[in-house]
Amino acid sequence: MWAYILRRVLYNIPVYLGIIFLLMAALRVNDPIWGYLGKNASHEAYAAMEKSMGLDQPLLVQFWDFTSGLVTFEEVDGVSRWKAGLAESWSDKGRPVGDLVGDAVWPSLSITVPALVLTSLISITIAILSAYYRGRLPDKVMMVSAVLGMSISFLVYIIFGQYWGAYVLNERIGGEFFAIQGYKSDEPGWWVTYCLLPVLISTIVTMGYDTRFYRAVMVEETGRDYITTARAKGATKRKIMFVHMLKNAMIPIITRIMITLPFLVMGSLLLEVYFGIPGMGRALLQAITTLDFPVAQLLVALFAGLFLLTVILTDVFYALVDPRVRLQ
Amino acid sequence: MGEPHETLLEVRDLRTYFRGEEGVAKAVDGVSLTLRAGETLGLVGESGCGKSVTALSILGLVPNPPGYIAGGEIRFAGRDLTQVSANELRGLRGNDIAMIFQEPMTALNPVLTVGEQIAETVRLHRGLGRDAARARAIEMLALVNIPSPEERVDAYPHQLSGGMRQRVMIAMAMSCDPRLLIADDPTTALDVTVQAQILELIETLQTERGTGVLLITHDLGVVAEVADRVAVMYAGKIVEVAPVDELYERPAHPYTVGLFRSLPDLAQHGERLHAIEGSVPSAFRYPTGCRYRTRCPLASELCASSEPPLASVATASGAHTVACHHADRVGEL
Ligand SMILES: Nc1ncnc2c1ncn2[C@@H]1O[C@H](COP(=O)(O)OP(=O)(O)O)[C@@H](O)[C@H]1O
Ligand SMILES: [Mg+2]
Repeated sequence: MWAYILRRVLYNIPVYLGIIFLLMAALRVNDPIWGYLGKNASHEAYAAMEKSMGLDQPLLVQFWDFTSGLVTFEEVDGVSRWKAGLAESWSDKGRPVGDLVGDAVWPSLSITVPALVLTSLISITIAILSAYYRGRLPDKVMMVSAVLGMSISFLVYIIFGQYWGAYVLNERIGGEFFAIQGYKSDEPGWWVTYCLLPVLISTIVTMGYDTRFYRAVMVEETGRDYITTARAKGATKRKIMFVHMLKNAMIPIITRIMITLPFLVMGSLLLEVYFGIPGMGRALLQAITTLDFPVAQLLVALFAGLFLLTVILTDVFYALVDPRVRLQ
Repeated sequence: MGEPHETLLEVRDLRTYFRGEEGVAKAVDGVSLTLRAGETLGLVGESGCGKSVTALSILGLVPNPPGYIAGGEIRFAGRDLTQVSANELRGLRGNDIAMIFQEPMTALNPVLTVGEQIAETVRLHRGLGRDAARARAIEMLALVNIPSPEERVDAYPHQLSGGMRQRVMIAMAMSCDPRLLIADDPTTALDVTVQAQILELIETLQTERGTGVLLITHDLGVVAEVADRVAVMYAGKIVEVAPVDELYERPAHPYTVGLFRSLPDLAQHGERLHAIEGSVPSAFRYPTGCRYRTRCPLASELCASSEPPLASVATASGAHTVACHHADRVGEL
């Protein structure tokens, strides 16, 4: 298994380098320095900036510097620091981009990971129940709710969530149960106050889509021959659903979860903006609006890496759940 | 194990219908069968005539919706299986009545080991623990002649050939010593040499254990090898029942004759091998009267107006019945 994982990682390294190269070239199509300084900047200011970011070097040299920086550490003031993170942010003067991005990782994770886990657990359970009661009342109620849920915009959930879930609730109880906005991770109970509401909203938004998808997967499995075999040997319906079917359905379920993962990170952008959570999505949005080239470059490289990581993890999970996947 | 000649299964006027867009498909439309303990009854007919639906009806596995049992009785061990509770039926399945299917490639669960799948049956019905069930699985794999069963018990279905998978299916079906084994075209998906081995295995197990076998096939050649009696099915009905030798020597239904003619190894030297002309009528619209008349060389006006009942043919065995108005002229064919 470990050899298999290693092979998947090694195989994806050239892919990653290719993506980084394309992204770096794309970020330089419009001169980022003129963009940042404006047309009337002096030549001295331009040259200084160009030199500080190494933008005066040929693209291949910059590519080498950047990619090698992703995997090297450098001693700065006696502390070992990640080299790619040492470049300085343009808009947040002098701040190493590594610190800026690093600060955004944890807030992002504290929303996306719980949202993903919660959504998947709830929607898989509903899907199984729905497939179990296929065509009968519980199934119909659940599926109509899913479609209803899907037909309401993300923004409506955010606005109503903030109004009813935070503002009105806080008025009623005369305290702050859910914060309308903001993020502080040093208070006790901070996660409930600042993260739970966005997590619930994100769960409700994605649940309709996921439930319908997982139900379709389950229903497709119910038509397979091995299900008839299991019934013919007298297995209980529960055993058929949760052992025979779910085990087979894990393959499309994992694909779905893994495919949504990168989108989840980006999708939490709206939540981060509306709830004032200083996560990666918001950091990327800010870097783009303030034309902060070093931050944008590092973030797109990280997102690309995250994407490939999910691809690798998907392969590994396949190998774990499906005995037909060959490890050679 | 029942006394020989004791009736094990009696299907009476079974009707299993499917609701469809075009109306109701009468897949099984008045089938009656009797199977005695320890006997092998062949059920033969072209594809689509309702053999699998008959088998699924016995086990209560007809997909509902769209399928439902519209009438008839299925008597097994003193009970009418069309009337018993779902739970009671589940207790019989795999334990008293077991089934093996046509497609060994898809009938096994791809993500469970064959050992787990065999063990599941005995754990369900025998209440065996994990280790005992595994031991039983190994024992069953050995019984169906799978080499090195201690290793194969941990194999996944995709690691086995089609023939091996069918042996696993048989091992699973026989693991609780059922009184009735229903084998639905168990050899179609297999190579000819493997087919013979699988049939031989079923035959050996059934003689050793006195299991009653309902062997479903579209191939008369298959029933010739293993069946004691044969029921010929056409368009949702049984058209002829006879002991196997008698059926071969003196088929009494034109359809049976047609089936024999289309068998490659039984066609006389020099005689042209021919399939029956025309095709099986749709289960949504059967012809009036005798359902075979649209393809029958002996068809007359009587055949269109009245449906022939199953009636005895005067033979030595006294166990030969046929549903044909012109059974006396079948010799002319
Ligand atoms: N799941 C189903 N849904 C609708 N109709 C079905 C279904 N299964 C079988 N039938 C109908 O029953 C007829 C007989 O099918 P089957 O018993 O499988 O034939 P065979 O003799 O080849 O085993 C088919 O032609 C079809 O019209
Ligand atoms: Mg069939």
